[in-house]
Amino acid sequence: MTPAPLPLAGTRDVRRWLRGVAGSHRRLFAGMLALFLLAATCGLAGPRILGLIVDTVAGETDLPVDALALAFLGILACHAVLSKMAHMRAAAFGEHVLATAREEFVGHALAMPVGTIEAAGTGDLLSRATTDVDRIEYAARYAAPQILTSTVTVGLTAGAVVVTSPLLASGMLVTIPLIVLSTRWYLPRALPVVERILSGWGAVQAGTTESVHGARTIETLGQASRRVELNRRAVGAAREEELAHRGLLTRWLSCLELSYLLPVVVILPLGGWAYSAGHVSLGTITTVVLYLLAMGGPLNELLLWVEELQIGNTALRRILGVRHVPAGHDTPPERPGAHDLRLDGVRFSYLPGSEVLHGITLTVRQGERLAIVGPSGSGKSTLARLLAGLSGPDSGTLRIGGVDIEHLPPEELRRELILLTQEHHVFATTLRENLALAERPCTDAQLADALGVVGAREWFESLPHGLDTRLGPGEHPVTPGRAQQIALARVVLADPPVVVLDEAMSALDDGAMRDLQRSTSAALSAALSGRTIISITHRLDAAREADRIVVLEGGGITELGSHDELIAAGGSYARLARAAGTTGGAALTTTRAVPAGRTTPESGRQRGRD
Amino acid sequence: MRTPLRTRPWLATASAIAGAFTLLPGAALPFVVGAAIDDGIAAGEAATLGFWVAAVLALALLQACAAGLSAWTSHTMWVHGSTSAQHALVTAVTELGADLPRQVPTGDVVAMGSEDVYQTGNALELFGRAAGALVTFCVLGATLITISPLLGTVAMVGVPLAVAGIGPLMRPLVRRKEAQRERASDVNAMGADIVSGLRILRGIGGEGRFRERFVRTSREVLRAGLRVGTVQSWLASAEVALPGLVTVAVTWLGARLALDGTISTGELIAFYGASAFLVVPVKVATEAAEEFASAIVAVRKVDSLVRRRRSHDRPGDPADQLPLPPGPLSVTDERAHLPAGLLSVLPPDRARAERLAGVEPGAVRVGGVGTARVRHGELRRRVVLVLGDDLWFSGQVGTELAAGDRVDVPRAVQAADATDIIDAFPDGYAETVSERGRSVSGGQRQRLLLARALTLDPDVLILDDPTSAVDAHSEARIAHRVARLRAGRTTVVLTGSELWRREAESAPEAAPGEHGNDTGQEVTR
Repeated sequence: MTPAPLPLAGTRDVRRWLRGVAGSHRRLFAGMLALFLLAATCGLAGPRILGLIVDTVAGETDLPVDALALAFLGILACHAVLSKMAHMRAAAFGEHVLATAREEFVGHALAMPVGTIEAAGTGDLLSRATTDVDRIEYAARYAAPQILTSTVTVGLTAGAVVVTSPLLASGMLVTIPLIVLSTRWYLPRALPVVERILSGWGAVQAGTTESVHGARTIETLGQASRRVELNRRAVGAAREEELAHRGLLTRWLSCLELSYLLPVVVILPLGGWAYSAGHVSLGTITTVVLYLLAMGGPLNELLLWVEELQIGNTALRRILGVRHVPAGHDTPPERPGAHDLRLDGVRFSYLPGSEVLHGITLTVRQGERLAIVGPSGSGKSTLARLLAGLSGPDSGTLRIGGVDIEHLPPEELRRELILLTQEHHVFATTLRENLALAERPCTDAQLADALGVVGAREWFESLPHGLDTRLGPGEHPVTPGRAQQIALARVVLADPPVVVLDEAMSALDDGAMRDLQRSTSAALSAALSGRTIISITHRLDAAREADRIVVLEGGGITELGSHDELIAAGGSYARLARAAGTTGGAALTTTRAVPAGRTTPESGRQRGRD
Repeated sequence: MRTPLRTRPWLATASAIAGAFTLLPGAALPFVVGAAIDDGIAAGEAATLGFWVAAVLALALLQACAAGLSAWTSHTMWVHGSTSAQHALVTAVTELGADLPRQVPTGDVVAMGSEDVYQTGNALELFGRAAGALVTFCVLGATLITISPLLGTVAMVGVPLAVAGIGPLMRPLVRRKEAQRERASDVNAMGADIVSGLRILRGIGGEGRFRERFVRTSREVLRAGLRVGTVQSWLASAEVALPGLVTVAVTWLGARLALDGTISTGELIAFYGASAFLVVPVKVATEAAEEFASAIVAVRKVDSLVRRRRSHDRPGDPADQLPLPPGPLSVTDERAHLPAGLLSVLPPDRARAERLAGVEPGAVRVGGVGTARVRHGELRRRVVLVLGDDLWFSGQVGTELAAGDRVDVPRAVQAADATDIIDAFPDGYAETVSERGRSVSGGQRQRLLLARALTLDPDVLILDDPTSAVDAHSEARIAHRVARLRAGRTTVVLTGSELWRREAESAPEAAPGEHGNDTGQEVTR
C-alpha cells in the first residue's frame, strides 16, 4: 500500500481560520491590540524626556527636572500595568486559538473515514497530534506575544522618530534596503534548510527511540556497532544541514546588526548640519538617536522569532489539514433488513496491475460460522478490509442484508459488522471507558460479564479499583494478551450481528496462552451465539469448528465446505490439515520413520506410517 | 559538556571573544554619540563630528563582524555539544542492550534522546555570549564609575539587581506556572491516545464519548492556561518595571548632576544609553545561568546512563573469564544437554530461551563454559537468540535483513520462506519496511525476523517459537530449509510444533515423562 498523505491547509485557509477565531473573541482581540499599542507608546517616553532634560540643561527650555523625572516614573508605572494587561489578553487569546485548534483537530479526526486513516498511516496523524500541536503551542505562547510586542514597538518607535523630526527621520531610509534585501536573500534559502533540519533531527530521534525500544534485539543479534554507525550517519546528515544553516545565519545576522547602526552614521552629520542651520534642537537629535538605539533590541527579537512563527504556521497548516478530509457518506442511509452477507464478483488491487482478489463470490448466512484459511499473502486480510468497508472493491459488490456496504456510513456499518484485527490499542483511561464504546449504555454487571467471557475475570477482580482502574503505561500496565482480551470484550459488548476476526487471537498464541485461547474461543462462541462469525486464521485447529471453511489461495476461493467435506475432498485443505496434524479421524502422513511407542504431548495418540 | 570545551579550546575562546565584541560596540555607542553631540554638534566642530561619525561606522562594522562570528561559533558549539551527547547516549544504549529496560525506564531514555542531549548543546551555544556579557558588564561598569562614581554605582548595582532580581522575586509564580503547564501536556497525550486508537473508535464506536471527554479536558487546560497567562503577564510587567526604575533613577540623578555642571550633556546621554544598554548583558548572563543549571541536570542524566554497566558483568578479573572453544558448541542447562552441531527441539518456554542464550542469568553452559564466565562480546557473537517480539528496525528491507554477512540475504530469505514477501514489494529489497514492521502482517514479520537472524550464521542459534504466526505449509518449508541451512551448527528451537519436531535431530524433552532422546533419532507421530 502506498501511503496517501493527509492534506495540508493552504496559507489562506490558515489566515481565514485565524480571523474566524479572532472574530469569535472580538473584544479580547481588539483589547489586546489596543493595550499593546498603549504600552509601546509609554515605552517611547524615556528618550523624549531625556531630550527635554538635555534641552533644559542646554538652557533652551526651562522645565523643572524633578517634575520630568516624576512624570517619567508615572509613565513607567503605566507602561508596566499596560503591558501586564496586554500580555494577559495575548495569553488568553493564544489559549483560545490552541483550544479551538486541538478540539477541531480531534473532532475531525474522529469523523475521518477509517480507509483514509489507513491509507495515510496513523503515523502522519499522530505526528500532527503531537509534534505539530507542540509547535503551535510554542508559537502561540512565546513567539506570537514577542512578535506582537516587537512589531508594535518598532512601528511606533519609527513613527515617533518621524513625529519628532521628519528631517532626521529620513536618515532611517538607508537601512531599509539592507534589511529588506538581506531578509529576502535569507528567508527563501533558510526555510527549506530549516525544514530539512527538522526532518533530519526527527530521523535521528526516531532512530534513537528505536534503539531504546530494541535494545534487547540489538544485543541478541549483536547489532551494537551497526546501530551506532547508523546513528552516526543520521546525525551526520542533520549536522550537515545545521552547518548549511550556520552559513546563511551568519551572513544574515551580520547584515541585521549593521542595519540598525547604519542610520546613526547618517543621522549624526545630518543632525550636525540641521542644528547649525537652526532646524532642530540638541534635545531633538538626542531623542532621535536614542530612539534608533532603542529600536535595535525589538528589531532583532522580531527577526529571530519570525522563524518560530514560520514553523508554527507550517504546523498549523498540518493541523488544519484534517478539516479537508472529506467526511465521506452523505447519502441518507438505508437500514439493512437482514444480516446475510453477499459477495459478488469482488475484485481488488492496492496497486494498479497487481490484483489481490480475483472475483470472489460468496454468501454467508446469518448466524453462520465461517473460517477463511490460506497461505500468507493469499488475500485473507484484504477480504476482511473490504467487508469492514475500509476499502471499496474495484469491481463487484459486497452487500449486507441487501444493502451495498460501500453505501453504508461507518456509523451504520458498525452496527452490522465489526472487524477485529491483531492490532490492539488500550486507551490511557479507565477500564470502563475502554470497554463501553458502543452506543447502547452498559451496566457494570454487563461489563464484568464481558470480561468473564473473554477469560479476564480473574485479572479484573485483581484490579485495585475495578472498572475505574486507569490503564496504560505509568498507570496499570496491560500485556498484549490482556489488550487482546479487552478488544474481544469490546466486541462482546457491542454485540453486532456480524463479527470478522482477522487473526484476532494471535497475541494469545504463544505457549502458555494457547489453552486460554481455546477456552476463550469457546466462551466467545457461546456469547455470540446466533451471530455470524467470520474468522480469518492461519491455525487450522481454530478453523475446524466452523460451519464452513473457505480456502483462499492466490486471491481466489479454491475450496469451500465443512471440515469433513474438505478432508474427504482431499484438496489443499486436506494437505494443509495433514501437515499440521489436525485432520481428526484421518491418518497422518509423516516423512520419517517413527520409533514405536512414542507419543506426542498433544494427542497422546500413537501413529504409524501410512 | 565539559568535553567539547576541552577538546576545542580555540572554538570556546573564539566564541567568547566574538560574544564580547558583539556587545562592546553597543556599550561604547552611547559614549561616542554623547561625544559627537557634545564636541561635534553642540560645539559646531565639523571635523570632530566627522571623527566621531567615523568611529560610529567603525563600531557598526566591528559589531556586525563579531555578531556573524558569534553566530557561527555558537552554532558550531551547539552542533558539537548536541551531537556528542547524542552519540554517547546511543552508544550507551546499545552497550547496555537487554539490560537497559531493567535498569532505566524506557520512557526516560527516550526523553533523554529527545530533550536532554539538545539541552547540552543549548548550554554550550550560550557559553560565548555569556562570557562576552560578563566582559562587557565589567568594562562598561569600570567606565561608568570612572566618569561618575555615584551614577556608575547606581547603574552597576541597580541593573543586575533589577534583572536578576526578577528570577527570585517571581520564583513562586514560575513554580505555579510550571505546575499548570503540566496539565496542558495531559490534553496533548489524550489527543495522541485518541488518534492511536482511532481505528477502534471508528470501527466500534465511542467517538462521541471520547470527543466529549477530550473537550472537557481541553477546557480545563484552557482555564489553567488563562491562569498561567496571568502569572506570565506579571513577569512581563516586572521585566518592564524593574529595569525601568533604574533608568528613571539614573536619568533623575544624571539630570541634577548635569544641571550642577558635574557632568556634561553628552555624559548624561551616555549614562542614559549605557544604563538602558546594561540590561542586555545582564539579561544574557541571567538566561545563560538558568540554561546552564538545566543543562547540568541534563548532562548528569545522560552521564549516569553512560556510566552504567551491565548488571551481571563481573567487574575486573579477566583471569576469571574463559574463551569459548572453537567450532560447533553444545548447550546444556539443568534439564537437557543439546549436542553441538545438531538441530534440537524443546517445548516452548521463553524464559528458558533467554537463559540458554545467556541473556538472562541461569545455570547454562555453552561449549562446556558457564555463560556468566564468557566474555560478553564473544557470547553475543557466537550465540544468537530470536524472540517473537524482537524489534524490526525501520529501513530498506534488504539492508535491514543483512544483520550479518556470513549467509547471503537471498539464501536466508529463501530459508525463512520469505521470498514471496520480497517479491510482492513494488521495490523488492529496496522497499522500506517501517518501525516494528507495522506495514507487514504478523506472519510476514515473523519470517523477516527469522531471515535477519539467519544471515548472522552464529555457532548457536536459539529460536523461540519462530513460526507461531505462519500457516502450516510455510511452517513445514521453514523447518525443513532452516534445518538444511544450519546443518553442522547448533540450532535450538523452542516450539510446540510437530513440523519442527519432525526436523529435529535431537529432542531431549519430546514429551512429559519421556526419556531424553539425544542424537540421531527423530521424533514424530
